[in-house]
Amino acid sequence: MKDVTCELRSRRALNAVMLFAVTSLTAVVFCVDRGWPDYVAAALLWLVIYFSAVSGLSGSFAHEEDSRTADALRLAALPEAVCAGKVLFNLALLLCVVIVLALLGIVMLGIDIANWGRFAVVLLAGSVGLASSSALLGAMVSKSGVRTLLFPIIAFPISLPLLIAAIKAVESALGSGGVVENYAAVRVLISYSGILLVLSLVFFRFVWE
Amino acid sequence: MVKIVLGLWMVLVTSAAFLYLPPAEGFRSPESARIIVFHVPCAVVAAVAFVVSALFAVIYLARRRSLDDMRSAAAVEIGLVFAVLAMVTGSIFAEQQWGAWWSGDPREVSMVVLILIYAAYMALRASINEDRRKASVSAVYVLFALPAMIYLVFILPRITFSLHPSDTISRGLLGREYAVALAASAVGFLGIAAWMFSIRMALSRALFYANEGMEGEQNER
Repeated sequence: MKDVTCELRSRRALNAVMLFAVTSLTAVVFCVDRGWPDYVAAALLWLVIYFSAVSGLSGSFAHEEDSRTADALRLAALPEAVCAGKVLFNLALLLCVVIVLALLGIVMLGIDIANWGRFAVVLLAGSVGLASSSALLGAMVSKSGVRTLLFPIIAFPISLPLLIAAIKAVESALGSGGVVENYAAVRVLISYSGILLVLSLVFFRFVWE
Repeated sequence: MVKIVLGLWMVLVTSAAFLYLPPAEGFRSPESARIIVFHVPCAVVAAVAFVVSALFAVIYLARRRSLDDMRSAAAVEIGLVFAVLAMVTGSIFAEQQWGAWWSGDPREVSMVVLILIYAAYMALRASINEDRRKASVSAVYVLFALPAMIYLVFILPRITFSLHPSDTISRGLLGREYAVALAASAVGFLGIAAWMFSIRMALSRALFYANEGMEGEQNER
């Protein structure tokens, strides 16, 4: 059943999001000189990830409303299964973007990673949180007429605790200025992502009717 | 009766703040620190209002009665008012204390984000026309925003460096008078918020029944 949701989407979303991410990262590289401090690099990396997520994931339910597949899904599958499928799809998409961005970041921004394990865990946890919150919020605005405008408005403040914790955590995994010990940020990030994931699965039923 | 008691209580709190309380030692500008008697309770009331709105959201999702949805929305509105008040009083205090209206302190930022979250709630409500869908979507949004609120208010300011004290009272820097005045003021502000809530609910209820009445008449025709 989960595959149904995933299969319904074409590769269009991936191409568009990937291009968006690479374009914005290139713009960043052009505009700012290299050799910035870690906290700037961490913030830039997450901002690009976040805006790619917003531009790519907001449309996922809207597309299904437009092509009338949403009604079929309502009949065919449990709401939790639909939500889980959507979260997994968003996560897969986001992870592709994140991996490409991280590699490009290392090459083009010249960021220097001291703690690879923590860097990977933080990127994964942040992606889980973004993927699950955008699944629920995307379903909320999918029937609204102004959804392309509304989605960033409601997604940004909700994701901000996640972004702040993620930026702090990535900063602590980068090493050019000496490793900053910041386990608290990593813990906060993982717990917040977990809460978003669970709440999305629980509440999806109420917005999917 | 309740209004009179509340009015007298707030008169008492206000005059105590300016006349009875000693200037707060340990602050850069001890006289102006009296504003915390109004600043802190506003923030407390805002947080309480947001929690209350989440409670009514749960009740709505369980019982599906539109009055609970209205209660949840009214609590968000009141929370927004007090959040803005807390930010304005905080900004005035910061100008006196830290020398700038805005210094990008984690608590200032988190308060702004909190206001953004619940302002987005109003935008979300306004964008949905169908009543039942509006009610369930906004209930889910309020519940989804609750962990964000808790992280912003209680957790994030503590993992980042902040100028904002969070343990001034418990370290005994301000003295007992301040603890008592703050508690009294918080009670007063909560009373005002509850009063605003009942007025807001009377209005929503009237509008709700007026709408229902009109629909009923249309059905009869």
